[in-house]
Amino acid sequence: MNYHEKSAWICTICLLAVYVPYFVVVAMYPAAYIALFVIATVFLAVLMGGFHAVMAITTSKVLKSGDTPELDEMDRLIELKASKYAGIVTGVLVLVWTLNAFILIPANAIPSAMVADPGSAVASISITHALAAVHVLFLGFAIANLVYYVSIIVGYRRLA
Amino acid sequence: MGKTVIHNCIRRLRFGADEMTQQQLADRVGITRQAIIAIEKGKYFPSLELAFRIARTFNQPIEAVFQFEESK
Repeated sequence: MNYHEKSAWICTICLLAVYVPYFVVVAMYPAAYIALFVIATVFLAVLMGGFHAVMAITTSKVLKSGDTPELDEMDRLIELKASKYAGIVTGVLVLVWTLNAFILIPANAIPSAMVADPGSAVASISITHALAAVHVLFLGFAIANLVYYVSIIVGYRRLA
Repeated sequence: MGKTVIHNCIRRLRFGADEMTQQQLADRVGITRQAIIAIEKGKYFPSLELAFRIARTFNQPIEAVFQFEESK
């Protein structure tokens, strides 16, 4: 298996291992995101760094040259295609998020806020609704990242 | 325009060149062994530059290594 394919596998597994539990917990407790976000980010960096270090140590080519193998034209083509797919997913998800944040969340939040406090409806939109929009946006970026690495794996598997 | 297929005889040429391994060829032309495997299987078509480098490695003209075929 190519070094870059192994790297994509590591990134995919780490992203799933960190972000699936993260979003499950955040969905249950939207306001607890700050501590969770810091923990998830640090954990992701440590996991990816650790696995890549182990992979580099166990790859004789990397040990000999002291550097990771350069991308050749096939690797670059696979990465370009993966970037294209991730870009499309990002675009669609940002569009969905915009619709969600500017139309659906206010449409749901304002009527309930008006019932609770008719005088200051917009100002009293619950923090949960606002945070939900942020989490959905972040979820979109996480999914796009996942699509990128999965596309790289699929690209290599197709040519294998 | 029909589907285009590019055949190659890299495998045969490697064996003719002192049984050169895929890794040796990959090192000489500056790509990975996986790319050589994909090219030999016809799953990946190399760039013109890489095709020339592969042909030059075997001291062959490019059309002796890669054959272009267009089906109707």
